[in-house]
Amino acid sequence: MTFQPGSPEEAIYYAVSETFENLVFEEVVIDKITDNEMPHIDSDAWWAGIELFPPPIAGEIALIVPDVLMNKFTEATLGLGSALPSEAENADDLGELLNTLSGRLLAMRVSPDQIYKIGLPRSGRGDIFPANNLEYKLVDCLVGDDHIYLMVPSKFWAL
Amino acid sequence: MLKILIADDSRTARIIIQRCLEITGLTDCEYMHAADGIEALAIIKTGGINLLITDLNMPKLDGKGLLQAVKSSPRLTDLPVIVVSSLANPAMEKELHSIGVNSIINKPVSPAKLLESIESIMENGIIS
Repeated sequence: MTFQPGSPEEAIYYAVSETFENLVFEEVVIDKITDNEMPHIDSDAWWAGIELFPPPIAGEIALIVPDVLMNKFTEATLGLGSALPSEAENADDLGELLNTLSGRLLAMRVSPDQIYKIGLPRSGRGDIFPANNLEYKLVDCLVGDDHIYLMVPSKFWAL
Repeated sequence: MLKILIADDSRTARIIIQRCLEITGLTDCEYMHAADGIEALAIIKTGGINLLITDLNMPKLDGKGLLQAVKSSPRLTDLPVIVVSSLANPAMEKELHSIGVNSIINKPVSPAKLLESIESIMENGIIS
């Protein structure tokens, strides 16, 4: 996908790229961005959510990663070698990925003279992500052939 | 031996920061970890910490609360502090500098960013 300079989509592209390249050494490509579409999630997928507070967003951003990729990400971040990460390590790693990504997103879109806050990450596993947002855009990303999903509150586009 | 305290609620983040510091050459140091501001403050009060690296977004006592406690204590106020956070923007940086923070790094952290911060603190003679 190509993005208009200065657009919310470009901010998402930079935030996603910078976060994943630095923390898990992976190139992530944005495949498509759609309105309110439900992600295709495996029953063992990992999810994390963080509340974004700056007006007018006041919604939850979420990141959903398949189990195989999550293990790979955590192994890379923690330098585990061939050891399989624990559930707690995966949950913490995903929370930190989303925390970093959320900060980069807001830093690029919120006015520099406005202090912004985000919540503490919550994370879990399963095919039903308990999203708090009524309206969101689904950012479908590719890591190789595998999909990861970012759910961004639609109000982010109003920043 | 330099004693460095890393405060972040994410164990992943603490490991990344320590690894980045080790890559910059700070291998002969004692690293201590805290998962929230209360735990960090308790460690700082025991004495001997040379550098505090802290996140802002933490449970129980957040980074700003921790910094206010440290900087308002005559015994602890000279402790050099680097903030590593996902919340850093110019408005937040201004507020943190007014509290007495020496350096601020936006996540994702890297060895280069940490090295630059530490060198600037050392140039100013705050740690040696």
